[in-house]
Amino acid sequence: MIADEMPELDSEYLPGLCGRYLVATVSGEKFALDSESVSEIIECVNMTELPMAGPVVRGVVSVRSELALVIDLAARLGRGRSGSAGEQARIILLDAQQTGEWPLLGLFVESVDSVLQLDSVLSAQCSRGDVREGDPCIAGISVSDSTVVNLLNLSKVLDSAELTQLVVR
Amino acid sequence: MKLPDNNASTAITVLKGEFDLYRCQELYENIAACFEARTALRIDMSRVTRIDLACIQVLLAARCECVRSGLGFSLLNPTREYQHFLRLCGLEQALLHYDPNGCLPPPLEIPASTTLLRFQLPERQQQWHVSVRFSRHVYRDGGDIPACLQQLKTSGTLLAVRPVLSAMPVFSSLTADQCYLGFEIACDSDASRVLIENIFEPVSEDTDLIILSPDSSVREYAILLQQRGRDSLAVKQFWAQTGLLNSRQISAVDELCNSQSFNVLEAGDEFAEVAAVDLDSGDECFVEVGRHESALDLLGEMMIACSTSKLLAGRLGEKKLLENVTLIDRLASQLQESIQALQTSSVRDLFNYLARKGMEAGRELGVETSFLLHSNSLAVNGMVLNEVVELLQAAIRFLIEYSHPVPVSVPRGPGPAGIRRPVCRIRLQAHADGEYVVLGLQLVQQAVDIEVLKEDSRRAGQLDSSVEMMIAELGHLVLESMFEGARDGGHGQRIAVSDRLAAIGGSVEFMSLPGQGDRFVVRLPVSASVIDGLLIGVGENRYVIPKRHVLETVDRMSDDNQAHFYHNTVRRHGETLPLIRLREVLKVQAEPAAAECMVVVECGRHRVGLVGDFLDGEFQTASRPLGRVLSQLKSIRGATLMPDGKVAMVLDIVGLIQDMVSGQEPVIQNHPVLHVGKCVH
Repeated sequence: MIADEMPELDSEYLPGLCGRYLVATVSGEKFALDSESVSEIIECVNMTELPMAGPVVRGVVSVRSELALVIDLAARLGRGRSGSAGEQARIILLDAQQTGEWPLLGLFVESVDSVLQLDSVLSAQCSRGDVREGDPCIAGISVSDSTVVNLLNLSKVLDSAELTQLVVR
Repeated sequence: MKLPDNNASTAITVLKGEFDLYRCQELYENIAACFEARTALRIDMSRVTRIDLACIQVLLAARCECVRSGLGFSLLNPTREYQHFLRLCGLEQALLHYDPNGCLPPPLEIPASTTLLRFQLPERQQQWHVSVRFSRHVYRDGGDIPACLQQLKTSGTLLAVRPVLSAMPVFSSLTADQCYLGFEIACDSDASRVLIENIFEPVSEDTDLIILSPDSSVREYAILLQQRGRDSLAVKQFWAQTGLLNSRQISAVDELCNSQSFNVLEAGDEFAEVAAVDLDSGDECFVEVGRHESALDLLGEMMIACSTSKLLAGRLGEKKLLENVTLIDRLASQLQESIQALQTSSVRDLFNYLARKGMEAGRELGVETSFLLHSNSLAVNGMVLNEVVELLQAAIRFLIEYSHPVPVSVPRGPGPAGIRRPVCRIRLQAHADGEYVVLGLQLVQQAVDIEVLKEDSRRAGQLDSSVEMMIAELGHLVLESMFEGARDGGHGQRIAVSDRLAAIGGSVEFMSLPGQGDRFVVRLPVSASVIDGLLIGVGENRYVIPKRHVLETVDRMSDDNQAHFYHNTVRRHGETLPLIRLREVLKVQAEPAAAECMVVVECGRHRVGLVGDFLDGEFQTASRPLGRVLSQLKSIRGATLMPDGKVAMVLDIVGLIQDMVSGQEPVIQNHPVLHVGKCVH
């Protein structure tokens, strides 16, 4: 009976998602961002927190006289807001084409690990009966050095309509 | 209002009731209908209980149209009050009966005769000449021009009032609620200049006022003549008719005006003159954005009232009322966005203005200057433009002054044969870059003469002769030299160009690329607004309160014997103020300060006390717009960069008060603190 209830992981390969990725740690898990979409990585200094905006918005920070909105990636992915910024915490600033709103938008992560070439990416969807389930923010998964890496679907993560709804009024 | 019947010869338009700004459009449309029907305009004024200057202006334009079209014009049965009003404004002659088939001369312009009001002996020892022009929006801003004239009359003796209608368009182009009037006024008064200025204080924002005192010099009269431009002939006629100046004095003023050494206008004056000119001409680009602030204030108050109404409607269970109030609230929000959008000015108009000023500068420098304007539909916040227009003018002047002269080819005079004036071509272009507009001011196939620049800079002590110039340093030197002698901060220190622009969220860069023509690149935020703010600290962050809302500050509330606190209100100066604790609204977790501070703010009729941890002084800044995500926050309306690199959020006072009103009893007077009569701190 238990085996019938277990979802079945799709074994679909996604060759279109192969490439170079920046891998970061969020809530103990590894997440990968397309390296093309990363503008730079900065430390968490002088961040102005916005507690009234809810857990998804970490705060705003100034980067060379430009303002950057910082999204807490753990909260955005439903893992709960990250703890206080440790020494290894970083803000990943994203290319303007990805953001479309503020001049800069950043993702707060617990640490930035490495840049990897991922040549084998599987679908992160799974099937339970006729229903396909999966986190739309995750585009795929890959395995590197025995570690599962989740590939982020940035367009979904940064979807302004969804972010807007998550911000506390 | 009764419309004319089909009999063109007997059609009479009867005006009834009060005719003020809100009915001037109605009056205009009815008169327009008469013109379409090609009927003579005969207006019965016997039932008009009140009429203001906006409607009189419509009648003036209608009379001019009648004269132009060969139709008759007459105002029948004017009341005594109406006649007195016309006399006060010097408009009696302007609205005379006109019969195209009669013997009266049909002047297309207002008759040259001036209404003279002589109530005292002709001995005039304290003659003042007040020359006033109004902006288009003075009526909408509530400016009561006849009231100013009436008050001027009480300060002494109004000798003559001459309306100036040179800016009046033809009837079909008239916008009924805009003002096209000016006045030349001669008065005999012992009052001081300050007193006369104070008379026009209520309309000061919409007024170009020039006052010539009894002891004004010829130079001052000449300045007036130059500044009145196309009205200069009318001004001279006025002087002659009223006896303010005799013919010899008028000739002396004329001679001074025409003298080549007479340079009246400083750069600031020229800018002011341009700003006052009719914006419809398309040349001028500066929206007087200050007026939008008052409109936004009114809307803010309206939105707060909607919140109260929604609360009451909800309690009463009035679903229909609640729907309507919600609709009004939404419309007010949309209107707020529209007004904020009106604060923008087009880049094309800016370029037209810069080109005009640049050619004037070129003539002054003896350089033939031409401009290539790449026009587009971009727009920038008007306040931001006002901050940088001087910089842009200086940049253009710099490019003209230091550009390489084009080699001589064709002999052309004046001047020695074979020599022609140097030529400078400048390209002005703009493109959008996210939330910025990037302006390029580029020399076409020319470069800055660096040797001349170095030499000038050494002479000015800006550059050590032993230092070799690097291209990177050239940019810095260019900007510094461009602002040599520019306005300072009032303490003997020059404000660096980069600091001024950074304060409004912009930047400037000088680029010198081989083969591409030297250029200035200026980045301007599209929708930032410059605000004067008061900094209040809550927890580790600071927040900006726009100063225009601030009434009072209390640095340490515990030491303030005037205040008595009870829950979320404070009794101060005999008034009960609701409190908004920013720590709660902004959900700040840090430990509160031992002694809190309070800032009393006002929005319309509503006053509240904002409680924070500490006050951190005043700060002028550019409020950057929030993206779509953060615009959901009601308590915040913008963000700005602090000098220490941290970000401060600009508080939305209207939003805070709205939230407070939505969440509490609408009738504050029933709060227990008032019944107790004594508050416990």
